[in-house]
Amino acid sequence: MMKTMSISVLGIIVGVVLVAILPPFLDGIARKVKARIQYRVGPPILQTYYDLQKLFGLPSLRPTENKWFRVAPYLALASAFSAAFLLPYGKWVPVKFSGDIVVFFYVLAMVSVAIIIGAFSTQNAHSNIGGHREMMMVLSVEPILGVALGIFAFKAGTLSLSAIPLKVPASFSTVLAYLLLIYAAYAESGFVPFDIAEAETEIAGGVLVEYSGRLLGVLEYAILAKRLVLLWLLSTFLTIPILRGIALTGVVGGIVVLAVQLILVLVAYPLIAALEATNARYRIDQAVALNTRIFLLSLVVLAVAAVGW
Amino acid sequence: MNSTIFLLSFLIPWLLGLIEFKLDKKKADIVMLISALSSLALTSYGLVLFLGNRGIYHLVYIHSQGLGEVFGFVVDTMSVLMAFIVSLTALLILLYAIDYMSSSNKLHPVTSGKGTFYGWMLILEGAVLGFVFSSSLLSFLVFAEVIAIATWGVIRYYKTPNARHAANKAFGFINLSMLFGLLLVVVFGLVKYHDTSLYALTQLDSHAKLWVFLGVMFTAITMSSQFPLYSWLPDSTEAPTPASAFTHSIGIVEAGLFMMVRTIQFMDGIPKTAYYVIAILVVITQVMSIFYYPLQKDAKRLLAYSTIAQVGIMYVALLGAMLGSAGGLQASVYQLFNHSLVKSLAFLVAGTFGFSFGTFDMKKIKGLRWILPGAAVGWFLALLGLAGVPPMGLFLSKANVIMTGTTTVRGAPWIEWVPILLVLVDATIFFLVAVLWLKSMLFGEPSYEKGKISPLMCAVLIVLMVVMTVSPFLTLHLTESIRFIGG
Amino acid sequence: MVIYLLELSLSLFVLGAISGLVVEYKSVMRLSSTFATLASLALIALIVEAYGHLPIKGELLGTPIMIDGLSLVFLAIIGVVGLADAIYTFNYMDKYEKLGKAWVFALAYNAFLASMVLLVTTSHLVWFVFWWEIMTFSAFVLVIWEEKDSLWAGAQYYITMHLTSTLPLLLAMAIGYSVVGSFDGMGFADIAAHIGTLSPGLVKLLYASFLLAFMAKSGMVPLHFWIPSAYASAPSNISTLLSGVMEKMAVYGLVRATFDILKPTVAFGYLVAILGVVTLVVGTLYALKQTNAKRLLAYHSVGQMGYIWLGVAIGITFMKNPDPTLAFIGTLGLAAGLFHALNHALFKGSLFLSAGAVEYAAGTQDLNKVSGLYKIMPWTGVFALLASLGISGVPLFNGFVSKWMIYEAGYYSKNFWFVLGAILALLISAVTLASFIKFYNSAFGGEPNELTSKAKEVPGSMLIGQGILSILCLVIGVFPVVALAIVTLPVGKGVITAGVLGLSFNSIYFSPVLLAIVLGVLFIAFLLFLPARAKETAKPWDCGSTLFPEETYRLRASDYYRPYEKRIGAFYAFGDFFGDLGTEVINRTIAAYVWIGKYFVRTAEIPRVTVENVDDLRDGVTLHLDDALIMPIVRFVKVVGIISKTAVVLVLIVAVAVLAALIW
Repeated sequence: MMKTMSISVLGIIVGVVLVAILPPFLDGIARKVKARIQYRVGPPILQTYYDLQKLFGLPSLRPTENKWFRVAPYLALASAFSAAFLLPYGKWVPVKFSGDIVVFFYVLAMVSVAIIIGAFSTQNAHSNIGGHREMMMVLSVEPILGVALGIFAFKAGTLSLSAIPLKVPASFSTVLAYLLLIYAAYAESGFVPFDIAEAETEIAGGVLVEYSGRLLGVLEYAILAKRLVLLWLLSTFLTIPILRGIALTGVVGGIVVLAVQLILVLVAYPLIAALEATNARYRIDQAVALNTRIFLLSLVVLAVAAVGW
Repeated sequence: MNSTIFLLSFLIPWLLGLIEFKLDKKKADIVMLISALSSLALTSYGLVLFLGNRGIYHLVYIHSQGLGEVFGFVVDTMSVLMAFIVSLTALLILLYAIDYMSSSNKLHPVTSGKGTFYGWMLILEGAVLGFVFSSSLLSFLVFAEVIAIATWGVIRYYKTPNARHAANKAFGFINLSMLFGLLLVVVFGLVKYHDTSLYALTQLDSHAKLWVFLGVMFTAITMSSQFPLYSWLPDSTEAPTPASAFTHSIGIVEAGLFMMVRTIQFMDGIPKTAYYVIAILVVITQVMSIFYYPLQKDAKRLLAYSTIAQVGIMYVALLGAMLGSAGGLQASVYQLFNHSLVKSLAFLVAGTFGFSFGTFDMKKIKGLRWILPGAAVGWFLALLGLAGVPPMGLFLSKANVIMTGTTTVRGAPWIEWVPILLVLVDATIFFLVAVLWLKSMLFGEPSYEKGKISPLMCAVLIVLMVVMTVSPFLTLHLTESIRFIGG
Repeated sequence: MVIYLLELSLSLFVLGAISGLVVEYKSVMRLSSTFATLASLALIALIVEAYGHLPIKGELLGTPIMIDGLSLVFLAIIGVVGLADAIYTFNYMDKYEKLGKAWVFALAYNAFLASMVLLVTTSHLVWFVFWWEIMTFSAFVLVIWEEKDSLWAGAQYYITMHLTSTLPLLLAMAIGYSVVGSFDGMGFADIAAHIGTLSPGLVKLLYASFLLAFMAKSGMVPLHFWIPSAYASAPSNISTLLSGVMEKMAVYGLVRATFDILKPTVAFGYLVAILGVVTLVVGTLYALKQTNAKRLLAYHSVGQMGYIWLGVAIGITFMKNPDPTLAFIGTLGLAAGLFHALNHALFKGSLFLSAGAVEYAAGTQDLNKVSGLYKIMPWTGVFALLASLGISGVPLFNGFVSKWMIYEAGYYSKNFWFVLGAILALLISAVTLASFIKFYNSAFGGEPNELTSKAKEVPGSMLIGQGILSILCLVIGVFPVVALAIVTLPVGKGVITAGVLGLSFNSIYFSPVLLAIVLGVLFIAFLLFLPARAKETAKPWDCGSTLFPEETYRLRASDYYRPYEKRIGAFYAFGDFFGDLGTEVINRTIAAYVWIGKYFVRTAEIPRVTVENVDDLRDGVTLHLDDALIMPIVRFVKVVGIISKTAVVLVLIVAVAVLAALIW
């Protein structure tokens, strides 16, 4: 008993550590891949760590008295980590309760919300525009994510995030739900062409424009962590249904699953980076239009799922 | 049961009323007060005695071989309560009249002739008090005629051409209906049975019942100003406001209904034909008043149409009673009591418009709550009360009418639902009209100087508001003891 | 003891109601709100006292009283919101001192609260409707308080209520009476016992009547049109009661009527669910567009009522299901609906109070005009934030827990339509969040502008009022078990302990303590290990442009989410189409009336040629049918010239006839 306990605690710790250290590394990979595609040498893989280290060392400027400006980055980071804790690592889930999928959904949205609140707290036009674009992305993407998770929950008959991949049956609608999930995760992460809120070249960083020093570091870290969480969700949903048999058997099974999850993430990131490098940013209205259409499509998929296919 | 009390309660107003014609000013006021107060004292004493010793008492004063029961009393819950409310309302209205009928009235300044007004009013009061105790159709006829004459007297009081016309019209219409209705019935009863007692009604054969019923009904609905002879009532608002208040709340209009209730109460097994006749007339009345409400801009005329409809609702309740539901009788009488108080308040408030601004035109009155706050509250409560908003009693009584109505028509053809549903429609339309008028009259920039009403008038309004809110809860269970008597 | 406390509470309300006798404006307001506060405290004491001894039967003023679990939930709503609102009112009404009429306020305010207390405790249908009407009436008096825009809003409210709530209830009452046949027999249980004798058509009519009445009061689409203007133009303490408490009475009525008078049927459940889902979508999406603080809140009230109805609908549909799991889902749904009703009362009440505080301090409800109030009104800002998080359903706040239970019930029902409803509810929650970010940021975010820099924080009593509700939002959010103890009373916690899914009330509701710990620990850890060290201040970067005033860089409330609104423009167009349709129907009805009305009026006497509206008709002389028949004869007689004799002749005829009879 003690042994299984300690192993699961160990598994959880591994998961937490992964979430804590992986995001900048993945970003480093992405930067490298993008650079290679653009025939540049690119920064070293660990460059993002160096960036963050430097930012953490610098004090921040205050453009406003508003407390929210300072609180928001921490809130975003805490929310991203809380979301990460709801996901399974191998067969271990740090925080688990019935119906946690709804909590996951909300906590994930809270990352964006914290960023938006931070952006709105200053009287800077670029920052405000960025915040308001971010909100529109949330409003149009979250529905798709919600329906996709909804289809999984409906098919699996449970509202527990860690139990869904164990129970979800293979069917036509599930396949479509995977596609929806991939799209939603991609758009929600704010990769190009959906990096409309930051839009470095257009509105000078948008939501980030007024942030500097350590606060900027925390905020960027939160954004990277959120991307990892979404990607991890995706890889979990792909891995566990396939390795369902192994996942349930012992510690080794758990480690295997964890490894596969990790590999999947590491493989996916360069692919995403390639996509980013070869695409141009959408205008916000284009993005919202696309998302709305896909949302309507997702409702059709839900109906398909309800019919039983 | 000592019925001398009740006998006195109407004889005193008659006697003092006759004296009043010779008096004026303060003296008239004093005599009027004596009369109205003693009448109220007697009826309330009677009410207390009755409540301690309930039952149905039938007393015959004059009985002859040829004419049967000429003059007698039926003392039961209905008549005792009715008498009490008549004398209470009369007292309040007459108190109001003391200051209303004065030279400070902007619309109709009165300098002399107050005694004549009191005289007619007291005779009217006495006649109604006698009417409600009557035990035979013959005495109904006699008292109704006195009521008609007194009503004629009060309506033409201002002696303007319009007032004269309205008075003649009212008198003419009512007598016309008696000629072809109650009078025929009474003559028929005397000729054929040598008796017109209510207790004899149940022994008639069904053919005779139908004709007697229709005859009484024709007079009754005309007195209550239902279709087909209804227009005298709106025109009668030419009368001084206290007189209108009495006529509409507890005078001739309610007397007609009361006679109908008595007839149904005593006549057992009324043919269904009678039911349909009365149903059709009531439905037409209701539909008409729905169309008339929004067209009125004169406060008193609006109230007159509402009287027509409210009394119509009492008749709807009687429809249920005609199908054998005692609940119908109770609902009808309960509605009568509640209506009388709310309607007197409404008229007395409307009177203050004429008194302070010299107009009854609701279009001209704005910002009432700034210039006449007391009247604004009264008008608000009265109009909404008439529309059936609680805590004013008409809510409960209308609900009662509908509830008892559905009991009798459940399972009946849909057509029998029509009068009941019309009660709801009628209340709604009046409600719409009331809310829109209140919105435009009570608020906004005042259109007149700050008005002034005397403390006495104000006190009467306040007392009426309180009584109107409290009485429904007191009378609710009292009216439940009303039952069929005949058969 | 419980009945005694009820009497105590009501007597305190009565004292409050008559405190207008004191005359002086401020004293009346202080006195009446003190009594209302005490009365609300007595109610809370009643809840504590009654808990565990249910149901309690008794009599009050000759009317039968029954307090059961359902009553207790709504008594809690009235007690808590009433308490906060009464304290808030202590100072708030000073704003309206010019209008006078303090005694009217004292009377209507206390009557309003007292009528709702009686409404949820009576067990007699007639008295239920009676108190319902008193509630509607006193609410009307309070809504029109400002006597400007509120007049039209109030009239619209009252007329709508009369048509769509009073009439159906009277009809329902009548049908109920027809089965029991006596006034005293109109208890809920008596009617339920006899309902079998009704024909199927009348039973349907009964369902329809109740449904319509409660739809209108809770503002279900399409009967929600009166809500925004009424809530926006009423004084804020009244809006709080309207939205926080009065709307809930409709939920009470719905549950009471469906479970205790009628039977919960599947078809009826679907109907309620559809109404709920449509309402939550329409209400919230319309709210997103609003820039007036109180209109925004009002539309959200509509939306949130949709959630409550959806929860109740799950209860109606599944509670009587033979499958124990589904029956449990039904129980869960009903409990969730009631829980959300309680939560909505808390956060929406608080939000309206905050909006009132903003209006009190800055003098406007327009979110485009206010800005930077966090600096000037820090406490109001905090309370508004807590409540905003509550309504947005952010975890750790009360709205999340109840919404979450609704989603749970919807998903586990395994019924496509309810799953779809739950998903839509989840998504609309995101819209709610967006809307409240706008609400909070435009009022409290940014920098103070000309209008707001002159404002100052509202008096302490108002803050206490807001604080009570807002802090409860957080407390219930973290420890939902506090509220669940009450909201699960009506559904019988013990009836179904464990279903097939291993669900029970102990496991089914989200216990946020765990999440609170995780999130809180992380947050504090980050804050400690990476303190911001932001000491230096700098002005926001304005692209180097120094010519424009700072104000122009501000995002106004109307600028939020424009592209999104445009994208779903078809939805708004669809909604507006129905609005126009309604207006058109009303206009046509009036036109038809005028057309018929012309035949009732001598139009030739009207100076203008055309009669366009009812008012034109009023200038003419009313015509009567009987006049048309009889007056020609009268005129003929007049012309002949014996008018003065006619009366005499008539009397003579009567006398002769009587004499003739006598002689016979």
